[in-house]
Amino acid sequence: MDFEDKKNKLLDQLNKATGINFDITDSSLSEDEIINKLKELVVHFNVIDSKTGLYRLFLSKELAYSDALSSLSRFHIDEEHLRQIFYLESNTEWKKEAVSLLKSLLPDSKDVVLEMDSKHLAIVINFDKEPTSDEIVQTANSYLDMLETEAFTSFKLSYSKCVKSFKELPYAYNDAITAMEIGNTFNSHGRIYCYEDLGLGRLLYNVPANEIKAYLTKHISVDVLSEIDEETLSLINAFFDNDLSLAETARQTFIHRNTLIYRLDKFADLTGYDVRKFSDAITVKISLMLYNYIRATN
Amino acid sequence: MADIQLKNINKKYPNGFHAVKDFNLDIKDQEFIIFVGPSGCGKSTTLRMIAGLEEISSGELVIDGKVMNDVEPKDRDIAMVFQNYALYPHMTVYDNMAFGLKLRKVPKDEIDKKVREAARILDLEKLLDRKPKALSGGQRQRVAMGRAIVRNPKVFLMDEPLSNLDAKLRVQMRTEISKLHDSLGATMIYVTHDQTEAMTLGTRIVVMKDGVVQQIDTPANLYQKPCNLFVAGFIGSPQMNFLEGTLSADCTSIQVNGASLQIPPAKVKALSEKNYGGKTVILGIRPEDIHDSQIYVDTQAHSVIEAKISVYELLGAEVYLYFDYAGTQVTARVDPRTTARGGDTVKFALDMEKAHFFDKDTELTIAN
Repeated sequence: MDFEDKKNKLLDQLNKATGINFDITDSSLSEDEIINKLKELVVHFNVIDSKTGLYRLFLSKELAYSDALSSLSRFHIDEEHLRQIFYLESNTEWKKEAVSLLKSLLPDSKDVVLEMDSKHLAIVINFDKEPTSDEIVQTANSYLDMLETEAFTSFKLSYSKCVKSFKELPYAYNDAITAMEIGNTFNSHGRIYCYEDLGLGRLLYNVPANEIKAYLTKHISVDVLSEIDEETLSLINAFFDNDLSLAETARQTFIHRNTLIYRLDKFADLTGYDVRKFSDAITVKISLMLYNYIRATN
Repeated sequence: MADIQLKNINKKYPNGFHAVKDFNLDIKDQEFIIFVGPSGCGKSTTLRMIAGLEEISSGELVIDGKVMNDVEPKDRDIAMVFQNYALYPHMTVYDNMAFGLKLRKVPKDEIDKKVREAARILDLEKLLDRKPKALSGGQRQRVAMGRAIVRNPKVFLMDEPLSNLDAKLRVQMRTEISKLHDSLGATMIYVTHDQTEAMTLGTRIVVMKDGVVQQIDTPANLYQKPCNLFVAGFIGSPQMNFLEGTLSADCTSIQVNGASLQIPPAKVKALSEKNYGGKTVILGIRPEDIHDSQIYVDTQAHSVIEAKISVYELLGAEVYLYFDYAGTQVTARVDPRTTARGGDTVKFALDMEKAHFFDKDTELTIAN
């Protein structure tokens, strides 16, 4: 984000907090100093006025831990407590109804819904004991379904692991944002992403572009990958999901076993890799993920 | 209520994934339409495009004569019931049903009228003051339905609404949804991957695979006259058995694993007319059309196969016999009084009147 963007974002926040339109017409300060001064003003107005403001600034690292600490008791926030961040991304600008709905689903006054920007919301949820991953996914699914059926807005959701202290929340928030980015890249049709479960995607996300290109050139080129039809791709993915079992894949995809074999043979002819062999399957899996990455980033 | 037309609807994601391909469907007022297919077939995406939760890449969605592509979801006069319903834990049943209307700033007396009417339809009148934790699973699901009903929408969209319920409750709620459709007289579109739900609820079923509509038909027609191998295998439980075989030159019989099975005249005609004489085709036969009773075997001597039973399963009202034949596992659904058991070698008669024939390459139906 460049200086102008940062400045405008902070001026917007000041405007929201105070109801006054600010602008900088002349200043002897450097750009960094201006941003820092604006942050101080934003902190001053927001933190003093609301618990959500405190959380929002702290999560987005616009408020230092030492500054936040002094306000915790005022808003009855325990420094040590089990918490988790849900990060929500809307495909359009979210509406006020979505926030009202989420607040109604969270009767615990300690839980907060934060308006991060026009497309993103965050929820800080407090727990007495750590929830299981099934419980988290069920809760996340119910939030998403409720937002769609009641607020007519489609969201995706990513979440961090649970953290024990207030100090760790910005890291958890950052993990949730990263999970959303990686999920959108490698599994764009998914709707819930967990930072801890990103698996191979988390690893591949950090691979430099030139390495990706070199890998694909050596194994299965982008040109070859782009020739594969979607039906075959979904069949190959189903084959991976079913632990390379022909019988189980045929059963789940409702195709004849011989048809499946025929299509895998055809795929092997095109790419030179037979996914029935474990080592070939790994190469194809990585190549397909990298190909998705390239398509998503393009 | 509403007529709905989907004209050449496509959904293509920015990464190039083509989730729904050229979807065409006319839904008549008060119809109960089911979208069914395996996971990832595009059924939910299509429903979400109708709801306005997903943008339509190309094509036209028309509800009651009005193009809806660019109409906001909240203005489409639809209500949705999805799989993962949640109830507001601190609100009563009444407030749970009223909440959506309050968000939309509907006048209080109108909300009250709508909530009480929905509660009457769903038999929730005595539970209106209860909190969600005091409700059973079925009652909670009915409250979720109530939230949709209070909107009095033109169209109900349901995406696997029963998936989270246990088997017994699912059957019970299935009946309730069917009754609800009759009493509301509403147009309903229902997404499921469960073909039993599809067969029991729908007036018409849309079978999808890989984003493509395979067949749109009544439940009976889908079962009896599948248009291709996929539909034949998807509809019916246990699924249809498929055996590869070679037709005689005049199409009067098919050789499967050494057995010669006689083909009835009507099917011979269809096979001959399409020039399949002497070709290898796929024979489809449903488990209930394979018989092990001695009388049947004696009278249908021209369509008998012999196999060793690998598994015997008694389900109470029927028995499933599993055996390997021509390199494929075959299931027969027979009378529970059968004396056949696992390990026995048994003669089975195939009811060839009910056999289906599919092209081996295109997988399209040749004769039903």
